[in-house]
Amino acid sequence: MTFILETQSIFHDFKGLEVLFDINLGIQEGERHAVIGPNGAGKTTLFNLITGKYRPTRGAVFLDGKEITSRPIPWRARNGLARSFQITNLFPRLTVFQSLRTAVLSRRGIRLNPIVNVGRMKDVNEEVESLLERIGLEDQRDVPAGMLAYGQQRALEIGLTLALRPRVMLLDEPTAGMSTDETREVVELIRRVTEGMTLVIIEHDMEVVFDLAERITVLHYGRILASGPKESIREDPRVKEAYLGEEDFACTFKSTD
Amino acid sequence: MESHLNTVLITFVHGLVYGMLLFLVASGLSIVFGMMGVLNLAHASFYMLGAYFGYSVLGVTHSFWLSLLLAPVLVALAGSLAERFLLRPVHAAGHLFELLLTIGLSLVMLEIVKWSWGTEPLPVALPESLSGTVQIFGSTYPVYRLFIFGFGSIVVIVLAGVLFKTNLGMIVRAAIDDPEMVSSLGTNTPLVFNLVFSLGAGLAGMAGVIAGPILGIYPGMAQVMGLDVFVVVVVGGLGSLFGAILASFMIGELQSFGVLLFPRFSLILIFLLMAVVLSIKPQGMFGEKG
Amino acid sequence: MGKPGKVVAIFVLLVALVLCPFYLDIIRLRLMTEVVYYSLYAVSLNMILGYGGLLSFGHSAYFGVGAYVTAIALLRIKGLGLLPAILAGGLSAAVIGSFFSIFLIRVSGTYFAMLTLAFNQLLYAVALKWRPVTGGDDGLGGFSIPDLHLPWIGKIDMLDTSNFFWFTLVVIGVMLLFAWHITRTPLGISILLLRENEERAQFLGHQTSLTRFWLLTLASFFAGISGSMFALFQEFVATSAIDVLKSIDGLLMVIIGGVGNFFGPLLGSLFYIIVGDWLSRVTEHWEFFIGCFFIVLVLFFRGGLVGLLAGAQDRLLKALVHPRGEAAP
Repeated sequence: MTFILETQSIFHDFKGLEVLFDINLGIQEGERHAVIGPNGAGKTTLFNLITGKYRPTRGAVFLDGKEITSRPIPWRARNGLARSFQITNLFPRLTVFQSLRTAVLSRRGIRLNPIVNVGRMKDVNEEVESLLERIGLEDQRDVPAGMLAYGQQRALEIGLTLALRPRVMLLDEPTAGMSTDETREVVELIRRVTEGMTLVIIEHDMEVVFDLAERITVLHYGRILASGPKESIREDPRVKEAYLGEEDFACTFKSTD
Repeated sequence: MESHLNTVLITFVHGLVYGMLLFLVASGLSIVFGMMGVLNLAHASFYMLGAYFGYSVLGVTHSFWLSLLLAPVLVALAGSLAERFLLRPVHAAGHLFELLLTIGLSLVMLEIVKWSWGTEPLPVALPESLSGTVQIFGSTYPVYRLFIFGFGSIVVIVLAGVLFKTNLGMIVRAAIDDPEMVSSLGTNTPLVFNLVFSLGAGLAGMAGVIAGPILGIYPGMAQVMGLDVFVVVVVGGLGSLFGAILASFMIGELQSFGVLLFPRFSLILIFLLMAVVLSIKPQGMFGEKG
Repeated sequence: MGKPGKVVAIFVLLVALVLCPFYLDIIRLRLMTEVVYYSLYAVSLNMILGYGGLLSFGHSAYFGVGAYVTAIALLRIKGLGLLPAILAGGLSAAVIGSFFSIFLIRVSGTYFAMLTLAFNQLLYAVALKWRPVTGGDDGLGGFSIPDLHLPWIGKIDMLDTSNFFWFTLVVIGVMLLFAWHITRTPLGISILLLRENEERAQFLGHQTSLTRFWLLTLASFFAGISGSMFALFQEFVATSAIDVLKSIDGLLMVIIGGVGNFFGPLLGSLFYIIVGDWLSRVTEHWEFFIGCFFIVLVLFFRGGLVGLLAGAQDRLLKALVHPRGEAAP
C-alpha cells in the first residue's frame, strides 16, 4: 500500500516557535482527503512544507515513494504536486487567458523559449480555451486577474492549479470568504475537475469537507488529533472532546447527518 | 621601527576621525531604512548641504560655533520638508518610485548648490580656537581632527542617551523594530518618521559642517561621501545602529590604511568588499531582511 | 486609434526617421543618431525594470563595458571590422551581465538595487584605475569608425554622418525588433511573471532564477550594443560611459517615457536627448530643470509620457465621441 504523498515525522518550528509535531500523513493515489482544524493549527504550514516553500526542521516528505524534502518549489510543481492559495495569489495585470496560458506553457516545459510567438502556439491556446470552459470563466478571458470578482478569482486559482495537470492537487481553503451559493458552485467545480485526481483540501466549512472528502485528518495545535475515514472522524470522541464548546464545529458535525 | 609604529598609529587615528564622520552620516541613512523601508540615495546630499549652509552662516556671523549650531538645524528643516512633501506621497507607489524620487532629489539638490554657490571649491578656514596642533605618537597632529572625533562622540553619546533613556527614544526604537505595531498603538507614526528623518538629515548636515575645513566644500562632495556611506550601511547592515558604528570605523580604517598601503587599489578593494557582502549576506553584519 | 491607425502612424514615423539625413543639418542628425542608440539602452533597462520588476540601478555597467571593449578592440586589433567590433562589445557586456546575474539572482528589492549599484561602482573603479587598458581618467581615443564592408556593394564610409546614421538605424532597429519579439515569447511572459508574482510563478513550475539569468544576460547584451555604438559615434570612451550618471540617464529615459511599456523608453530617449540638448543651450542650469521634471513625473505622472499620451488620447476620444459629456451608450 504505497502512498502517493507521504510525510514522515515532520516537525517544524518558526523562529523558535514550534508549529508542527510529529506529522505522519499518508495519502493514497486517487484519495480525496481533507485537513481540518482551528486557525493556527498548522494546516497551511503543512501545505507549505509539502509544496516546498519551507524545509521541515525535521522529517521527510515523499512523493510516489521518492523523497522530495529538499526539492525546490518549481521542481515539485513540475513533478505532479500543485497547490492553490488561501489568500488569492494571482498575476494582477495578466488576463485570465494569459494567466492560464502561463500555467499551460509551464506544464509543457516551455518557459524560456525566446523564439516562438505565443500567439501562434495553437495547441497551447486550445488547451487554455478548454481550461477556460472547465472553470467557467470564458466570459472573463480578457479581464485582468486583479479586476475579477472574488468568486471568479478563486475559480482562477483552481484553474491555475488544474492547468498543471497535477497528480496531487492541494487546495488551501478554496471556499474562503464565500457565500453559500458561491460555495456550492466552487464545490461543484472542484468535484468536476478533480475527478480521478488525488485531492488534498484544507477547509473550515464542514459541509464542504463531508461533501468532497473520503478521509479526514484533524490537526490540533500542530499535532494530528485523529486521521481516518470521515465517518469514524465524525464519531471520534477525541475530536468531539476537542471541539466541544466550539459552537460551529459541533453544530456542523450534527447538521451533516 | 618606531617611526613605522608612529605612522601606523597616526593612520589609525585618521581612520577613527573619518570613521566618526562616516557614522554621523551613515546612522541617519541606516535608521531611516530600518524604520521606513526606504534607502535614501539623497542622504549624502544633506551632508553637502550642511557644509554649504555652514559656509554661508560662517560668512554672515563669522562664528564657527554658530554655523555648527545653525547649519544642521537648517538641513534638518530641509529634510523635514523633503520627507513630508516629496517622499511621503510616493511611499505608497513602491520601492522603485521611492528610490527614483531620492535620485531626483539628489540631482536637484546638487544643481541648487551649484547654482547658489558656484562650482568652485569653497575655502573654509579652521576656527581660531581649534587650529593648533598637538604632539601625539611622535607626530604633530591637528587639534581640529581630534575635535571632530571628540565632538562627534559627544553627539553620539547624547543621542544614545535620548534613544535609550527617554520615552521619545523608546518610541523611536519601537518604530524601527515594528512600525505597524507602533502605529496601531496610537502613536503618530508619520510624525515620528518625519522627526527621525529630519534628525538623520541634520546629523549628516552637521558632519558636513565639521568636515568642510578638512575635506573641502565642493559639489562633488556628496558623491564621494555617499559612496563610502553606502559601503558602511551595506557592510554594517541597514537598520542597525550597532552595525553602522562598527562598519563606520571599519571602513574608516580601511580607507585610511588603504590610502597608505594600496593607494591605487583602495577604491576597487572597497567596492569588491561591498559586492562580496551583498552577494553573500545582503543584510550586512547586523541588518534585518528588508 | 484603432489598429490600422497605429500601423499608419508607426509607418509615417519610420519614414520620417529614415529620411532624417535629407532634412536635418549635421548637428541635428548627430543628435538623432544619439537618440537612436540610446533608445536601445533605455529599452534594455526597461526590460529589467519595467518587465521584470527588478530595481536595476547600475545599468551603465553594461553600456560601459560595450563601449570600452569596442574601443579597446579597435585600438588593439589591426583591421578589425565594424560588425565584429560591435559584436565584441555586445557579447562582452552579456558575459559580464551573466556573471553578475549569478549574484543578483539571490537578492530582491532594495538589496537588488544596492548590489547593482555596487557592481556598477566596481566596474567604474576598474575603468578609472586600470590605466594601461582603459586609459584611466584620460579615456580612450584615437580610433575611428571602420568602413562597413557589404557583399556586392563594397565598402561604405562610416565617417559620413548620414551613412553612420542609417547604419545605426539598422543595427539598433534589428536589436529593437528582437527585443520586441522576445516580449511575445514564452521567455517574455516568464519575465513578466517575475514582476507580477514571482512566488506564484515558482508554484507553477518556473525556475525564476533561470528566468532572471536570461533576462539580465539579454538586457546586458542590448546595453552593450548600445554602448558600442556610443563608442563608435563619439570616437572616444571615458569613465563617463560607465559611471553612476550614465545609469541615472538610463533611469531618466525609462521613467520619462513610461516604465513597463515597450515604446516608453523610445519616447523617453527622444525626449531626454532632444529636450536636454535644447535646454542645455537655453540655460546653464538645465540639469536642475530635468531633475525637477523628473521629480514631478515621479510624484504625479508615474506612467511617463506614454501614460500622459494615453490619458490625453482617452480624454480626446471622450471629447470627440461624447462632446457634451453625455453618458456612454
